[in-house]
Amino acid sequence: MTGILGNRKYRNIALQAAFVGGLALLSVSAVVITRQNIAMQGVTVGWDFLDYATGWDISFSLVPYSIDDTYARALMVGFVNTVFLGTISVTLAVLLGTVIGIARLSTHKLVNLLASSYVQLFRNIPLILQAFFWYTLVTNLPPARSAIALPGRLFISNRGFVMPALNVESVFQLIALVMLLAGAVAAAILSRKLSRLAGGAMLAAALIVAGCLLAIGKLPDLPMISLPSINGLRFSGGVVLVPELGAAIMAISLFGASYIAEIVRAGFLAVPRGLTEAGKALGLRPMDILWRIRIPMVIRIILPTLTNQIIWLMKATTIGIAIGFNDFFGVISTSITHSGQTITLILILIMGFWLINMTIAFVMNRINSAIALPGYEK
Amino acid sequence: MSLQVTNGMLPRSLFDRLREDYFSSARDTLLTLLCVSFILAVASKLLQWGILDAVWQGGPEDCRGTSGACWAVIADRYRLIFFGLYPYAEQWRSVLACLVILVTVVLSCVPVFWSAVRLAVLWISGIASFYILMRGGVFGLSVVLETEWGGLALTAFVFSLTVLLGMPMAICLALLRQSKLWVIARTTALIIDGVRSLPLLSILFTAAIILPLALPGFLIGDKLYRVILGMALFFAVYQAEIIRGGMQAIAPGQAEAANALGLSYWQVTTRIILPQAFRFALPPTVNQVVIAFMETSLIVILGFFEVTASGNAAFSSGGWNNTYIEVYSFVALIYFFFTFSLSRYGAYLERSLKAEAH
Repeated sequence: MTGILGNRKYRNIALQAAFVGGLALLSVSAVVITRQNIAMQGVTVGWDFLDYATGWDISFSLVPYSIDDTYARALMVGFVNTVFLGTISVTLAVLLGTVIGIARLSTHKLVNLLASSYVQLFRNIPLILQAFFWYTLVTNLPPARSAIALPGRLFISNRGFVMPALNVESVFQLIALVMLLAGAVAAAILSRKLSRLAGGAMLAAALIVAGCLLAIGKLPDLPMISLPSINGLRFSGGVVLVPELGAAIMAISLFGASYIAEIVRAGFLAVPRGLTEAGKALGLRPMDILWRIRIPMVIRIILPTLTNQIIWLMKATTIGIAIGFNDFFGVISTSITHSGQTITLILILIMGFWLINMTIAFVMNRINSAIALPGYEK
Repeated sequence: MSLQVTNGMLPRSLFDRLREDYFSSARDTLLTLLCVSFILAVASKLLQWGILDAVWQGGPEDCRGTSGACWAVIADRYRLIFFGLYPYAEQWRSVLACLVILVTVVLSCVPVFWSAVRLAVLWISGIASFYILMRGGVFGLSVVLETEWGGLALTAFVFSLTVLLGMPMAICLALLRQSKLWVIARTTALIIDGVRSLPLLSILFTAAIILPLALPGFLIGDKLYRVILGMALFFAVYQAEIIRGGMQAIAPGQAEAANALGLSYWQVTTRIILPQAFRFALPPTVNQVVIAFMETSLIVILGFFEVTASGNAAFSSGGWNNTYIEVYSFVALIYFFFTFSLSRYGAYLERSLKAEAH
């Protein structure tokens, strides 16, 4: 016996087997106990409940949903809401963060001071407190009757943010948007690989296809654009950004921007000075040095950190539950209360977030390797 | 007699400095004017609202007609925000307990305490005295159960216990992930990446509601401690990656030299690898601690009465409904005070470590 354990090779194998075995034992016993406990509550574990009608409503959904719909559909509504909230917030956070990150590098002391005050203020206050603040602020806005009107038929009230919309079936709007985005990506690739003309043609084609799709999907007997107007106590026409969504977007994008600003700043500081000096020596204008040397380098330097930050912000969308936005996590927790299918639903939650994170990581890694400079290692 | 050396330049007068820094070109002048007018506009609004027009004393009716801030709500409700539902007569214990945690955190920033044993003794005794002060039952203190804890004290408790439990977990996870036994390394990596890809809220939720189903009855314990365990796990997986980063920054020759000298795995790990890894990883560690402190606010969703929740309660009753901006600003200020000072300390550490390296 001691002979076997004294041998390093066997000892290592035994150690690893014990480690994995211990973990397996732990998870098996957890599953067994859970099954027992759930059986005692009279709930059968399984996937059947996904086909049952929920009987509760969701206040905000991009896909049609009613209380007669199934759990599967409710979960999908939540998932789409999370992706929607995440995409908007992350895009805004990256845009704002880039601007503030560049302002943080300004040699102008006041610009620098303002940008760093922003970063310190939004970074050092918990996200959930910021979300509470924006939500309370929005719900304390004037009612629809006395809404704040902005030029372009935009209204701000305690019912949310109202803006003009297209009178087009939502499926067609979504497909048109996807076609447009795909066309833009294809155009960017074509103009890099082939010629600018091909890229332009691709973009024009995408625009035409998207336009045709919108024309096909237009609701009959209505104008193309639906303009909102105040109609007594409520709004008619247009599309309403509910207060919960608006507050969540505000909170996540302002909070995220303060982190992304620091990433962008670090990226600019990491560009080798020799590159910009070489640009100057070649007689490039400051604008050309910024757009053709520094920004392309910064994008490549910050992409891995930025990927982590974006995943982190996607996970942060779960704070929507605190202010009553029906994101994926919110729908899951409501489903747990109503169906008692804890294990299955938690499993779905884990799979949903893994799917989101894996997709982001996959796309960003592809971009990263596609734009990597040959022969340039950090 | 000493000569002042001013790198070849004469000291600039104030006028010259202003001109060169703020008005050296048309663009700079424009930016200066824009920034100054923005800062003046915001500052004057804040001054008018927050100080000149503000109401400092009285009840909700005193604030009704004013256009300024209603700080009277803080004067009226500050005990609720700081102490939650802790018994009124015993709130001095809550103050002392928070001070104990504050002193613990401040002392751990002093390099004298930077050894595993000293830090462990400091934090365990800090949290133990916090617990005795808050819970009572000994030394003639009346018993106050955890369910009655609230406000800043609860935040401090969750935070300190998260760090105390999370740090050893992080070290274990980092060492397991760096293990030469690849099955262990891969399995740990899978666990770390799996937990990292989940939102903290879902882990806390699982700990509070699902875990009791998966544990035998004698292990279930209080909801508060399960949630703290979940927080510690989440802290640990992030901190483990930070420590691993620090371990990878150590030149491989060091471990090889130690092995060649015949040191055992534990000697190499505890005397060579970990001390240096922590040194490299110090600034991101401080950053992670700051994030852990801010993330304690998430437990408000699970129904705990920590400082964010007590802020919500402070303005949602007694006619203070319109004072949410004042209350949220006050709560934000409490968080800001701690996170800002800690993150400044982290930035200072980063600078001094860089200066040492050169």
